[in-house]
Amino acid sequence: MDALANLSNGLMSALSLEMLLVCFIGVLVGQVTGVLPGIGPTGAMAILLPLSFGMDPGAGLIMLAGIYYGSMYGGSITSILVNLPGEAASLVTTLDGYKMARKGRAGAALSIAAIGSWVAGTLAIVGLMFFAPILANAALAFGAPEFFALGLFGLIVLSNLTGGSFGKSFLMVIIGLMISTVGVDLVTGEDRLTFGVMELSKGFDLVPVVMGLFGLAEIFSVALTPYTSSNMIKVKMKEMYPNKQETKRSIWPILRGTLVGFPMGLLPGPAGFMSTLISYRLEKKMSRHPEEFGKGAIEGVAGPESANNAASTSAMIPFLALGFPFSPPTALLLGGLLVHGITPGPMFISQHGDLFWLVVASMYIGNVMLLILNLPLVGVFASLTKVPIKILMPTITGIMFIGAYSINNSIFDLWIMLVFGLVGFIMKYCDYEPAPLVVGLVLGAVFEEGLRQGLIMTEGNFLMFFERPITATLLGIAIVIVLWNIFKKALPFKKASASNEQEEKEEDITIKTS
Amino acid sequence: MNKKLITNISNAGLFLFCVLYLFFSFKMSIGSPEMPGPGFLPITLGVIGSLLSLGLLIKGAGIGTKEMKEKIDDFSKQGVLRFASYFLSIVLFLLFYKTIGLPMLFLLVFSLAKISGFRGWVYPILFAGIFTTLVYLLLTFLQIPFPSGIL
Repeated sequence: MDALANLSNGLMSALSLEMLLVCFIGVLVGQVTGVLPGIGPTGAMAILLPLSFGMDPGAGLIMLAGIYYGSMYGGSITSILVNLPGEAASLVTTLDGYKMARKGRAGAALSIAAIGSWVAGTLAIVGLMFFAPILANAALAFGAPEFFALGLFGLIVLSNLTGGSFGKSFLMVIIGLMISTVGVDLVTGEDRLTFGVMELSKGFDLVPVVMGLFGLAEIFSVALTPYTSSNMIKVKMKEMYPNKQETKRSIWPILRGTLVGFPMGLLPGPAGFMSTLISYRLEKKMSRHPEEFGKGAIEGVAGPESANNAASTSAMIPFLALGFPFSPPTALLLGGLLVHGITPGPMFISQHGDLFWLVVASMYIGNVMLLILNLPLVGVFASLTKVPIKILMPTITGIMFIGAYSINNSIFDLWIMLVFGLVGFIMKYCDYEPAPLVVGLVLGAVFEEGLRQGLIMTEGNFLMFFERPITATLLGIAIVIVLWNIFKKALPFKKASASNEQEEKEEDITIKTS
Repeated sequence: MNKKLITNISNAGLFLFCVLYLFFSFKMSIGSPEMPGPGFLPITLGVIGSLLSLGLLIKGAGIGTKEMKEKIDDFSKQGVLRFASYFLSIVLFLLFYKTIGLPMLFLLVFSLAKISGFRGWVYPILFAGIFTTLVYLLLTFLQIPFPSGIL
């Protein structure tokens, strides 16, 4: 009952004109960035982060969160109409969504994607509302060793789930942690790895690093090989609704997609994309018509689109309840809150309950706004892909540099952005993922503090970490994952699962080539 | 350009970075297990990073899969030239933004517009002018700081 009372208070605040406006701006920008290929939610949030500094913390958080979950809606439009995913989490939708559009069922695919996204988003907010306070209460009992173990567990799971090589992802995590050690040591006050550069004393700021790795790197890639938009399939208003059979076939995939996406969002890594892959495979296995998949099955749109929305919402749970952002977009939300002197963590909901419930309430409203925006205005958003590169690229580059400068009034930050832009650009060609580096950089401080304080508490006996149940469980899982990745090639049952792997590989190839 | 070559060069770069990081980390006090010093985590990370990157470097050098032998088509002469011009425009912007201020933004957007494919002079100048004016008005309205420069 407390939750409902708090939610109604949150709704009262969220329905004020100012909050409605920032929520609308957030979801609209998210929707647009979801549509435009190249600018993902992370880049858009990084660009608009400075704007949130002038707002109060609630408004800033509402706008940034709106961009994040709004982009999940927008991504499906171009996947279905143009066969061009606006962002990674909509890649799977191209498989059946575009095929449906070519069969003249674009409207049905778009409306099922929008309705599925809305249902999943709303159910995931209900989950967020109930699970985040429970998790935060449980985390109040956490000490330094638990935070260290949670950080290590998160980083190892992230390395394992990123999709590429475990070794490469883990190396990126290590590099992220290395970068986080630059600056003044909080325990001794000693300068570390600053080489006498004043600006490095405060360490690397998250925003220029993220803007470089995700925004500028993409701009460099487009400069090297500009993309061309394919012909867009036009959709009429009267064709916007699914027929009875399509609706019936979509109900269970939407619910299953929500159930798949929600727990995925709690894990570190590219939850949106991974949840769509799992949901797609699950739907194909459970379908009475698996042969229709890849040729325009509505389940192949309904499941993955619901899954990525549920995942993006539940990703807010570890961030708000534990202060652990497990993905670059939530890391930017953390950056936005820290500027206002608010630190998410176990105490966040009890100390800033009004802010938490305001954000939850605004997410309900934002999801309704997105549903309304998506159904009648699909054509308008899809036509954004027609904006020529010669206008888009200079505009985005200009905004990025002005935005990054305004955070600390520092040209040094802009150089950092340029360097990381170049690093991110090179990483693309060597199959290194930038997300583990960013999460390593963000979690570095908590990780080091937990390790050092934990060692002081246990008088240098690391084995005593294993005497604490939560720490032992998390460290145990992390060790098993590392050992599994080292020794899996030597295991005898590898050949037995070869056919399954082959099938999954074929699906991955289809996704990549589409 | 060959994918294997790029991967090997970047693996070697990462190994060098980790070794240098480890070298400089040794200049900090490691402390003891009971009282870890500021160098405790950096040295640990440096050792793990160096070993891991060395492993990837060795593994990468030995791999001869079909995917690794693939040539990357992205590096056309025109594309590389466009990328280099983009990069140079940004470097020039960073060098003079503090001294010159917002007119530098006009020059950056103008040059990027030309590089991205705007033909003639009128449209890119108009585009960069409108963009810079809008940014100026927005920054002033939202009281977001920007270098005053020569203005």
